Amino acid sequence: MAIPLLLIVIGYSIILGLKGDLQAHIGPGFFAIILTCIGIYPTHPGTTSWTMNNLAPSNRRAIGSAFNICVGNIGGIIGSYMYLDDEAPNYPTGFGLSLAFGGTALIAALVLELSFMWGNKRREAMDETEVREKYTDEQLLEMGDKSPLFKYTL
Amino acid sequence: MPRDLATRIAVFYCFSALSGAFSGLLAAGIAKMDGVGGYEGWRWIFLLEGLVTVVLGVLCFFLLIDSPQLSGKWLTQDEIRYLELQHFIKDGGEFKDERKKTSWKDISAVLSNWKMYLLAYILLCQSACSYGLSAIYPTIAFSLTNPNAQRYQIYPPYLDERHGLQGHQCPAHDRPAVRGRSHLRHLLFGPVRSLLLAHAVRGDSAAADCNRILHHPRPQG
Repeated sequence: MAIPLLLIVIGYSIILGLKGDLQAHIGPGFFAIILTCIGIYPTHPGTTSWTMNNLAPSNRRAIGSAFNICVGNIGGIIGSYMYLDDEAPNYPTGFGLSLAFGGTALIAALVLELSFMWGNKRREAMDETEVREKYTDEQLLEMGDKSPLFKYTL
Repeated sequence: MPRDLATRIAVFYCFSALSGAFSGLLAAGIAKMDGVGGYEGWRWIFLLEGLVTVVLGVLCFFLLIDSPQLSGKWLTQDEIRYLELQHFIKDGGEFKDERKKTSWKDISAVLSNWKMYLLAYILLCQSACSYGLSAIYPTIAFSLTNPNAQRYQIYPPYLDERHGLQGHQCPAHDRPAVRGRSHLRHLLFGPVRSLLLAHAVRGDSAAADCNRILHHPRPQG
């Protein structure tokens, strides 16, 4: 998850560094674009599968994945209007925003991964029979992914 | 069945990628209907493609079945039983019918989960970058004045990555011994193709020919 996002950040920062003079720097410019492409496309299935694996039970999984995709597509609206015409050929707004998105998404992914690892560690410390005595099955199902028996997928 | 799952998902995603390839051609064809019935060409594109989508959407409601028992013709009894057991285990030990319908509590539980928002944010960033890239890519491509280079930009290299990754990798993943090989193949070929393209862009015709052969293995013309 973090590696593709890292590639996006690297790619866009190279392009911004070229400051619009693409004719002279075709090689690095193109290389940077390809890096960003390599970074962008794996992120979508990765995020979707992460969402689906870390929600329980199946009702919440369905709602969660639909919600995820809805909010995610709002990014498409932003993306279509990012590159303003009057800023050719530098496009600082467009590339800058893309870089910012890549960076913050990277931070978000790292935070999530750490929180999942922490959650898993906390659950390993608990003993299963104790947990079953404390809560009934109904309550465990209600708690969904906060239940002590649920294991987060990294 | 799980051993076919990756292949099926790959086929699904390949169709979506192929639709991107065909959409340009289809739009060019429909655009020739300019003036028919008083509508411009671009309106016809929306009308026809939208109509097909809506009809298929409605049909989905009737054609997609709700549970493995109703599948009837294409699954054997053993496979139906296997799928039911799988659902039983994944739902945490309860049959789906026994549980009550989606309640507001479920929805609020999802919406109040801070992790959901972070995950949705990652997807937001990714789609913003992706749409922005497809907007800016033609500008970058046509800023290259070398006519050879412009010709090769028409088939963006990253689509190749996607096709390659999905079409080859997922069936390979179903056969465990071959998994590593396909990963390696794509790790090697991806950068090689990109490098060749970068050279082609600078007018190196030998690199351009190599690239053409890699992209289109069958003879052209």
